[in-house]
Amino acid sequence: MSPNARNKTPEPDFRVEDSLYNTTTEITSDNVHSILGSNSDFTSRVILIRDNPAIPAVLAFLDGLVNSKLVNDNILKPLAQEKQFDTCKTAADAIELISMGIVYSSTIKLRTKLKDLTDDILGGGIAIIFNDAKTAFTFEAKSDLKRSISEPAAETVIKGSKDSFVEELRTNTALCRKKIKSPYLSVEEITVGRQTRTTIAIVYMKNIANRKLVDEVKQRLEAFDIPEALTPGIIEELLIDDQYSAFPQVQYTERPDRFCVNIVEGRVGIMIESVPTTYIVPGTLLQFIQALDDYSFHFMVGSALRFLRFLAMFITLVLPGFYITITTFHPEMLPTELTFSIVASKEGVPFPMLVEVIILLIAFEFLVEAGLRLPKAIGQTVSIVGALVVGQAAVEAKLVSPATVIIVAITAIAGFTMPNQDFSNALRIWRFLFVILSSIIGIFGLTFGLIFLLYHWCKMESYGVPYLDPFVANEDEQLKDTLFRFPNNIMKNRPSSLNTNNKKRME
Amino acid sequence: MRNFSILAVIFSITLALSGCTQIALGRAEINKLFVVRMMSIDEAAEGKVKLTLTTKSLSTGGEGQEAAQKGESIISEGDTVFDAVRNLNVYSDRKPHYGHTEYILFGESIARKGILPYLDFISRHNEFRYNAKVYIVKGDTANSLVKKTNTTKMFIGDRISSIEENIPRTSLSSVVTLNEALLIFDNKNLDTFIPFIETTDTMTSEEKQDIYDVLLRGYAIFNEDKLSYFTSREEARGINWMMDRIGSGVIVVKSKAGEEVSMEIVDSKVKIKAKIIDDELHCTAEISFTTNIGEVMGIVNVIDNESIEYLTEQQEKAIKKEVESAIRIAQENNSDHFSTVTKFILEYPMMRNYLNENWKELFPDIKFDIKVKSNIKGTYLLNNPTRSTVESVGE
Repeated sequence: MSPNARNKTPEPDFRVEDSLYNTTTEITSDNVHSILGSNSDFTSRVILIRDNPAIPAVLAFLDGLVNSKLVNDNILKPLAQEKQFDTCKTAADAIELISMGIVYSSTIKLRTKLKDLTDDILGGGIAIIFNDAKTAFTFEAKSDLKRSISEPAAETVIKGSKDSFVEELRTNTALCRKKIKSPYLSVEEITVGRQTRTTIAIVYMKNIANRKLVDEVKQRLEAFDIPEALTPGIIEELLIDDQYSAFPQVQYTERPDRFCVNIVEGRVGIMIESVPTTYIVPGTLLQFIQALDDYSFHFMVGSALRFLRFLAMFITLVLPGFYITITTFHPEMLPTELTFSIVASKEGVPFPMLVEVIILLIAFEFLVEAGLRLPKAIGQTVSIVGALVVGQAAVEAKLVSPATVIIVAITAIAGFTMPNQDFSNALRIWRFLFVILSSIIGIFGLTFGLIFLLYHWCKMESYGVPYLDPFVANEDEQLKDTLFRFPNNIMKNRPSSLNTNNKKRME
Repeated sequence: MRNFSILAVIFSITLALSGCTQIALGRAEINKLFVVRMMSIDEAAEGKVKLTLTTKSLSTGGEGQEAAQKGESIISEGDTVFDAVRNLNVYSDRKPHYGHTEYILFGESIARKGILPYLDFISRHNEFRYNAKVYIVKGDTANSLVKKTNTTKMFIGDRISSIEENIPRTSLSSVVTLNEALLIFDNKNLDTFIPFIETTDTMTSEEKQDIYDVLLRGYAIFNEDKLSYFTSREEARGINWMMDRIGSGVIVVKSKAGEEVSMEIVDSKVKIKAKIIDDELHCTAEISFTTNIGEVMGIVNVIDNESIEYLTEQQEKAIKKEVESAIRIAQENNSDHFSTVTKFILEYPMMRNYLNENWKELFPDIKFDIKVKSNIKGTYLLNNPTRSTVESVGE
């Protein structure tokens, strides 16, 4: 291939996404070179099959994405040494032999379209291009660029499996297959992201999941022409119904067991290439308060923990606002002795209660954010400084009262009990709204805030399932796994709101 | 837009129908409030009202100092209670908050003139709790009692609260809430009884004569809204028997041998039956109670059947005497604080109007029949007093 030959190829217009393929539709090594040749990691060389100059082929791949040992042993070696190629006179003969499996690869794809060929090379494949036949073969020989399966960092459980999803999509689907050994488990893949061309796997049970739900998920993912799909938030935004709600509408998990439990229940799972976080739709309020441990423990313990979490949700949402309300508008609601304790603790503090609470809540948000962004070792230092500065020095300096510190601390701790971080974040935002409303008109403001929140929740839907399901529009039986968890053998049906093909969970 | 309109309507209804018209005024930082624990009402010169509002002082004592929880009072005078309350704003740096007013005290002199006019402000005000307790200060003004008792380490409110917890041990008094008092005042045929408190310097050590304690042991009996008389210990317990307010208590009786035996009441039940026989009103009080022998001041065995029977008879007599004395003095003063009229109305609803209209004439002539039934249940750790066996062997 001479440099002059390459120069003859029309330069694609990079401002138009598909111009790459429109202008050069034929599979030739020059065309591939015109698309990928400017990359330093792109490697291509001419090879002669069994040293036969009549059958030239071009080997093309992206260095680093392929395992060179696999390429040498399984592809180049047979092409150079396999005696059966001696009978080949033209490229067409060689193509036929390769199609029959003379090269040692389990995944051989015959490509006749340049776009498919380019996608394969970009996806870590190795290509053998036959310029004469305008055809190419791609083989999978991916390098081991993957993290080993480790314990999930964000979702720890006491009992249960300790594996977690990784960045490699195929590993993730394999993890799922390992847990659900059913022929009905279906993994459909689509590509999203104009630039990144990220593969997304839609996982569901054919015999259980509602087909309409699966189609809706696919439709939503395909509907938008987004440039990149590398951050999970981008995909999440495609999946949700109400973009202006702070509350999460899809469940996320790093845990294969949690993912599989939901799939078997009739929900649809979404796996994104290069992202260890998987999504489950539809998402309802209850799911964000349930933890996998609820089902790992005895149902009484699980129920108690579940109820505690509901209580914590209410506390983290309402407590600061309620504290402002009762100390500023309705002190008669406090027990007498507690009133005197709060008055004593507030003595000498120059700020009104609202300012005190806001200062502490913001300080707490700073601490959380700083703790997240900093490396682990320094993160602990931030916690200590936070505890000393806010907890002690600020109280001693009479900037805030000890009672307010306790209230905000309880609020924060209650917020941390939420199993879903997105849900916890939404509660943090709404908490501020409640604080402002409470400081304006006391208990009426707080009540109004709660009515507004309830209204908001009632209005929300996720794939046609009410957000407050099963508390609204559902059958009685579904309430057996809500505030409390009943024994497993009592919950015989799948959630009716999912409208699954097979409604019976167990006989 | 439609949704927001719905929310706006909900919000407006919440505000409009709440009855809270002073939202802006209702806002106050908690440390800027004078949280009233006790409200004392006395009469001042020229027919004015003297108001003493007391709160618990927040000084907890410095290092090496003894912590004291004394009261802090603000005093004001006015033509009416409301006037006096507003006059407080002339000098008080904090806004009085009545939501935690646990005690409402009336001085004896103002109670004798009638307390109903002063309760009007309290029952009209939105901050007061209807479970606030009402007390009459015997032989003194309420303001003086607060001042005198403020010399002790304990805040007067906490002190009364502690004494209240002990009431069931003696059953010599009880708690009357503002709500109970107002309900009785509302019925023209009923007369209320309100517990009285008094100060004494006899309960503390002789060296500190200026330290006063509070005693709570009896009732101030009202005729309409005016203080009529104070009961004795026995009469107070007699009222409690009639009102079924007995928790426990000690009955001291003499054994056959003349030794004093203390019987502890552990259980009691009272049933009042009203009957009209031959145009005469009869009221039967069936009292039944159980006691344990708490103490025998001697060495004679009192556990044999004969002695138990005797002691039972003695304790029944003692209780009957207490109740009869309470009834006698109530009839003498024509003050029905046992709610007898209600019992008759419930029994004879058709005579409601007649009874209501003529109760003041009827009450003094009611024939009360007190039936007391008791039993002795236990003797605690000892059956026989120490040395009682030796004595019997000696015989």
